[in-house]
Parts: sequence; structure tokens; C-alpha cells
Amino acid sequence: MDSKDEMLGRIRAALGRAKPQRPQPLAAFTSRPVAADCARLAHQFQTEVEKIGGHVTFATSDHEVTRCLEGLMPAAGGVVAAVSDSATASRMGLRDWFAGRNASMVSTLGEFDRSGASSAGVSFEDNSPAEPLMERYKKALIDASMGVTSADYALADTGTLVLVSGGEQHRLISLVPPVHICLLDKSRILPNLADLLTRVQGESYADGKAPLAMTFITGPSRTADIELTLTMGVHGPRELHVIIHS
Amino acid sequence: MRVSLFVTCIVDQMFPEVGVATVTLLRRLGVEVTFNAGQTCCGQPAFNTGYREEARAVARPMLDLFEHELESADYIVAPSGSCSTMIKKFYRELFEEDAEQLGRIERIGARFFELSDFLVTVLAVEDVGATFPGKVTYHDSCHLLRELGVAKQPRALIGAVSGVELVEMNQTVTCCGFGGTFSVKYPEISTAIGAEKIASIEATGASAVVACDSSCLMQIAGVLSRRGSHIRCLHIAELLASENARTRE
Amino acid sequence: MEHAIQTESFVENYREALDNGQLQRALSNATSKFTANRGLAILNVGDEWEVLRDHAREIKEHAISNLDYYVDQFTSNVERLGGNVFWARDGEAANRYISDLARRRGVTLAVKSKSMVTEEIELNHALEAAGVEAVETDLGEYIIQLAGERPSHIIAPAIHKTRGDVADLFTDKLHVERNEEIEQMTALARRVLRTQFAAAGMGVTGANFAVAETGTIVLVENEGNIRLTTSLPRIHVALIGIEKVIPRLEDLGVFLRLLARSATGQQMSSYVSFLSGVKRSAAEEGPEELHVVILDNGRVNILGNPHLRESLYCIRCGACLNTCPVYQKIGGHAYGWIYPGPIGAVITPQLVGRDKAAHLPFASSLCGACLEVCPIKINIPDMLLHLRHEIKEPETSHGVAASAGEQPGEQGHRKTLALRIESFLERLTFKLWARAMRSPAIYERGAKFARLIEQAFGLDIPGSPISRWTSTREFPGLAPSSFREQWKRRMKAEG
Repeated sequence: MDSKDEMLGRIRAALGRAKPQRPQPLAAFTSRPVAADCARLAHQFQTEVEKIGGHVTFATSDHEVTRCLEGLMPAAGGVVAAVSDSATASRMGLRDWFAGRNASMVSTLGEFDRSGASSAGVSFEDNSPAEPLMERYKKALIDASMGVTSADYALADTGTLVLVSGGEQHRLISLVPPVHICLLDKSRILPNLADLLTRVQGESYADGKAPLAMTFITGPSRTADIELTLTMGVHGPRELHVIIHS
Repeated sequence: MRVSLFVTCIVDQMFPEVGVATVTLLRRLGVEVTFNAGQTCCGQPAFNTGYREEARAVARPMLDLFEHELESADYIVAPSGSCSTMIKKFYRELFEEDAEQLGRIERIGARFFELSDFLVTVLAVEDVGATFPGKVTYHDSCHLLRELGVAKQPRALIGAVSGVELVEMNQTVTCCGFGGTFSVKYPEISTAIGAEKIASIEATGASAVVACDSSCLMQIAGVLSRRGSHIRCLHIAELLASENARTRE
Repeated sequence: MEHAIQTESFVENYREALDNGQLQRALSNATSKFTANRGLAILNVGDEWEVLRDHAREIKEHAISNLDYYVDQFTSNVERLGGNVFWARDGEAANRYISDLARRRGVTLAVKSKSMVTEEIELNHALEAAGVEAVETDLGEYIIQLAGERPSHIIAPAIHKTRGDVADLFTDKLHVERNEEIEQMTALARRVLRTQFAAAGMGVTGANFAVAETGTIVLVENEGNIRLTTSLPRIHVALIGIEKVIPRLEDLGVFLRLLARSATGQQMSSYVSFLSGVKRSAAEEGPEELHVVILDNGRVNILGNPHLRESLYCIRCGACLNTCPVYQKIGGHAYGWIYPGPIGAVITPQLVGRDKAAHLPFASSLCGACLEVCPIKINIPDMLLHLRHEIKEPETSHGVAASAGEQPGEQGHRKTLALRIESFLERLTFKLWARAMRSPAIYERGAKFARLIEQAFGLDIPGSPISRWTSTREFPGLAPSSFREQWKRRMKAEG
């Protein structure tokens, strides 16, 4: 008897059962349906994000988005920007926009992959061709001062951004740099968590699939481990800026 | 209306004035009160300490006695939240494998009341004609509050006492630290918890603290006296039966 | 790190805690803050709170009573998605697997997220022995790791330390200039730990929830160290107690609404990670290897005890700690092991042995505040009473499964002579007490006798329960005339 059967057997014995048995179905807990008025949801989302120390701006055009970004660039310059390969960023030409502002660009993971050993972006001493892809990407990202991604969904009632892996590579860009700028399509804001889970169950988690990482981001990184005093940016980003565009 | 008194062993031997006050009060309200001297203890000390055999040995004759009493009395009333909880709730656990006892426990439990609950819920009385000038605060005993859900009744009764100003303390629902044998097994912790309760009481400026359990009052009074405090510890029965009570028309 | 089980020195532990003024202040501050914030968060949710609690309880009851099915489903899905599963009967097996894995992969540095289960099995110890440096990355855990101490609270492990303590620690261990500014100290920790994250070959976490339906590991945090731990290193090891498995993804809709509110009063923790499987191509962001270690270590025994089974429903929010008048006074270290507070008092005796942790179930006033705040409505007071029963009457209490390292009947041998005498005297006292209480005549005679003793010697006999009372409080003594005497004398007739 292998260790799996042995443990499952002991669990069954503890439960007083000799044989495996299929559980009775567990009730589905349906939450109250919430009216999904787009504007109201966006406003609620903004309120919640700002309550916990994030910032939200609205943009009704690509031009307004870049204007927001302009406002976030430090006067002193020296920005090292990591911009993800999101459809939104591509459409808006954000990489070029940053490059045009004299920001150093961190190559995306995809770019590192395609280019092999070439240094498209920030270079390091130890940039040998044999170094694995992820290692090069990680190293480059650690020096980034700003990360720009989009979000796949957002939850209005808690001010939460939802990033689902598999398309855009936003997992590390939304985590490593101290500033995270997130482009959020207004139509992707959902009322609440129950809604989101139902949705992803039908999409990303359907048919036995599962995304490598689905990440909920609610405000900047925080800790109160020393004397219960709240401090931002301990491991994750210190600042979170959401630009809601339509 | 006839009530059989379950006076509880701690009141019987240590705080008889609470029992006397309970009888005086009920009689003043027109209730006939009997006392069956065959009663001893509900068994809670043994149950709480893990000795269920002993607790059952003590509980069985008590159940016989209660059953007997309810043949001629309408209700059994006890001036104690924790003892009432023992009978109404924990007896079920004590006899969880004895269907016959469980039936008895249900029937008895339905007619067994803690004093303040009895006055307000059964007698539908809040003003019992008592007078007590001064500021008092009320301590919620844990079992009475969390197991029996009794919180409004004592407050209504206290509030109706002529001359009284009821001030709620912060942390009114926090334990006094008694906990039965806990108080003597871990006296320093018990007293540290008690000290917090005393701080809450003193912060109200009240001249008296009222509760429905003599065990809590013994704990609170014990800590207060050790500090030389003059705050009185009154059982609700004593407050309501207070000497300068007006007589009812 | 000091890892010996210190449950047997409970009395010394708590006395030390009560005498520690700084700890008392820290505990008071922390517990009242958490409790207040929790209260506000719940007000914010309104009626839904009670509904959520009921749902959560239903889900846990279902999951635990069908645990074989769901653990099987979870692990099968993990494997299907490219993860490895190791079935660990006890901590030793888990440690061996993880250490061997590290050795085989040439890992010399591992980063860890806050995980009580890894402390339970003393994983760091095992890794160090295998030549792997294991660095705690949660700020509070990092602090106490540097200090060589144990966490004092489930949610805020270092609440017993002042900023001055932390500054001293950082100066001493990190060789930096002393700086008490909390922002600066946090920034320093961030810098130091980033290099560890980047260099580590392995990331080790626990799991808040393990979703059977999808093979997903759910991790909840505020700092971001879990996200770094699970995305930067090549290997992710997740140590998961069997009781963490829940049936469906949608169940998180209930638990996530309860957990943060209950723990810290937040609506949602800063980050929640739903991790499934491993990357399938080089250009994906995440670990190449996932090793899920499914751990028993005494949990199956708890499962086998119907009266205590619901202690497995716990989601480790810490609300019971914050509200417990005992914890508020003695803090986490006094409990002597990994799990403190009311839930700790229930699971510790079951995992380390009832005889070793016999104090814990008795060190409670049974006030019931814990049950009132528990998001899963776990009936802790009930379980404490059951444990007391099992400890005092092992022969007659049912469903007592032998806990780790304990055989029935062996309990007595481990106690010292003094403890055995005390036990015997207590049992004898209750037997005599029961004899008296069963007979009104003996009861009355006993009461008269006690009054004689009181008059002659006082009741405050050294070593007696009453002397323990009077060590800290006044004792009223017996009333000169009992109620029943007064009734007989003058009250009976007034009927």
C-alpha cells in the first residue's frame, strides 16, 4: 500500500468509513444579485481603493492616459520602467511613450525569450547567454522603479484588482517595482468576489484548466508588524495607481 | 403562581442573604415560594473540572427533585445564571447518551428560570417597587449572557429601581475571571482578568456593581476588598429586595 | 530558534508573562486594536456576517466529513497540472522529503513565508541540518527569526517587541547603524530580503486553503512576500495540513469575506494568490517545480475524535486570541508551542499529547467569547470541556484517539510524583464531594463540619484551593448561618 492509499485509508477509518464514498452535494451559496451599473461600480471601486492608500484616476482617451502617466513621472527623471505586454499598452504605444520620456526600459519576459542573450534594455555584468531566461528577467526587473500592467478584472466592493496569468505577463511587473501603475478597463469592474469567481470558473478554470496564478491586489503592500504601526511597501509596491479607462 | 427555589450551593453556604432576598422579593410580588431541603448542588464544579461521572452522580438526584417539585410548582427559579445554564444547557451534554434523561432535562429546563429572566419574561414585571439611591453598574455573567441570552432583563429591572442611575461600564461583557476551578488553579491569571474588570467598574464612578451570579460577585468583591475599595457588590436579588423598598399597593 | 515544546512549564511561562510590563502593554494594545477593527469591519458587512458564518461552517463540516474524497481530488488535480505530491505521515517524513529535494536540486538558500505548519514540524531546523539556509520573509517572522524566538501571535508574530527592541536586533544582527524609525527599519528589511528572494533556489509556504476542485493553493497576505516567494524561486514547496482542503473555488467567496475581517478588520488582505500547477513554457512567470507536501502529523487522530473534530475547521484568523481574556493577559509564548489562545488550547494537547499539555484546556474561564467571534462558529468552550473530561476520565470518555506519542494508559507514567499526588487528591476530593452532594444529610453535616474547621483553624490551609484564592484575593468564608437553616427557622412558615 503506498503512502497515498495509506493516508486516505486512515482518514476514512477516522471518519468511521470502510469504503470511499462520494459526498452528498454541497449547497451552492448564491449571493444577492447586485445591479451592475458601470459608472456606479467604477465610483465604488475608486472609493475603496483610495480608502486603503491607492490612487485612482479616470481617463476617457488614450491621450488622457498618457497625461496621467506624465503626472506620475518624477521630476528628477531616471525612471526605469517595466511595461507589460498587455494589449492596452501596445495599443497605446506606452513603451514608446516611456522611451520618449528618457526612461530606461526593462524588456518583457517575452522579449528576453526572443532575443536570447542580446541586451535589449538594461544590461548587467553577469549577462551570460547561458543564464536562464527567468534569471535575466528577474535581475532586470529588480532595478525597475515603475511597473505598468493592466488588470483582467476588478472588484468594486473591496477595491480589488484581479490579474489572471496566461495572457499578459503581469505577475512580476505588478510586484517587484516599488510603484505599480495599473490600467483598468471600466467594463471589467465587477460588483463583488462571488461574481468574479463565477466568471473565472466559466472561463479560466473551465474544463480542468487553471491559470498558473490568479492574483488579487487590494491596495499597496503593507505591514504593521512593528508596534502595530502601519507601513507601506514592505515587499510589494509602496504605491498603487489605477488608471480607469473606457 | 408557585415557585420552587433552587437556591444553589454557593448561595446556601456562602451568600444566604441572596437566597433570603430572592424569597422576600418573590413573595412581595405575590408569588408563593417553596424550598425543598433535599437539594444540594447542580454538579457544575465536577462537570467543569472534567469529572463527569461524579457530576452525573450528583445531577441524577437533582433531576429527581426538580421533577418532583414541578408536580406542585409552576416553575423552578434560581438566583444564578451559571447554575441555570448547567441545568438548561450542560445537563444535555452530561447525559448525551441517555435518551430518557434527555427527555426529563428538556421538560425541566423549559420551566427552569434564572431569577431576572423569571421576573421579566414570566412574571412580566420590571418595576418591583425597590429603591436604591446611587450610581450602579451591571456586570454580564458569561453563561447568563452567552448561553441563556439574558442581558436586557437585568437592565430593565435595575433601570426601574427608584433612585438608581445605571451606568454601563466599558467591557461589560468581558469575563470577571472566576471560571470555577480556574480561579484556584490559575489564581494569578484569574486575578489579572479580575483586575481589568475592576478597572472598568471603577471608571464608571458607580458605588455598587450588580450581577446575577454570586460566583462573579465573589470574584469581583475579592479583588475589590484586597485593594481596599468601598464599591459594594450586590446580587440583583439584594438590589431588588432592598430594605427601603416601597410596599406595593 | 528555540523549538522545545514548553507546554509543561505553563505555570512558569504565564507567571513570567504576567510580570512583564512591556508585554502586558503590547498585548493590551494589539488585542484591543484588532478587536476594535474587527468590530468595525463586521458592522460594515451587516446582517451578511451571520449568514457567512453559517455558510462557512457548513462548508467546513462538509469538507472535513468527506476529507478523504477532497484530499484525493486536490492532490490528483495538483499532479494533473504538473505538480508533485508527497504524503507525509509526520513532520519527520515531511522534513526529510523537503531536505532531500533541496539537496538533490543543489538548493542552499530557501525563502519562507509565514507558515505555522512549517514551525510545527520545525522545518527550518531540518533545512539547516541539510545545509540549506532558510530565511523567514514575513517582516514579523524575520524579526523573531533574527531574535531566535517564537511568534507570540498568529497574525502579528512580533507584537511583543518594541521598535527599540527591533532597532537593537537589526544593529546587532545586520551590522547597521542603529535606527528606531519604523519606516527605515522596514525599508532595510525590504532591501536585505530582496537579495534573498532573488538568490533563493526554493520558496516554501503553507496554504490558507487548498481547493480540491481545481488543485489550487490559495495564499493570503498583506506584505507581498508570499507573492515573491512563490514567483521568483524555481521551486515552490507548499506544506499543507490535510484540514486545509476545501471543495470548490466558489467557497473562497465565503472564506475570503470572513478571513481578513476577522483577523485584522480589513475588507480584503492586500494580496491573495491562487496558484495552480507549474509553468509549461520558459516564458511563463512562475516556478518550474511545485511540491505539495500533504501533512498528517496528528490531524487524522483529531479527525477520529467526533467531539474534537471541529477544531480542524479553524482558518487561523486569530480572532479568538484577540478576544480571550486569558490570552490578553498571558500572550502567545505562555502556551508553550506554536498555536496559542483558545484554538491552541484545543489543538496543542491533541498534537503534542494530552499529558504534556494538560494545563492548557484548564487555563480558561470558559467565558465563551471565542465562540462568539469565531468566523466558523467553532465551539471551543465545548471542546475545552471535552478535553478536560478526557484528561480526568480517560477510561470513560469516548472517542479518545491516542494522540501523537501517547498510548492509552501510558499517561500516568510521564507525570512527576508531585503531579500524580495532586491528581489523586483532586480525584479523591471530587469523589467525596459527590458522595456528600448526593445525600442532603451528608451535605448538611459536611457544611456544619466545615464551619467548625473554619472557626478553629480558618479555611486558608496552605496548599489548599482556598489558600490559592487568598494568595491574590479576599475570601468571604462560609456564612455563619446557611440559607437552609434560616429557611427552616423563620421563612418556611411565611409561605
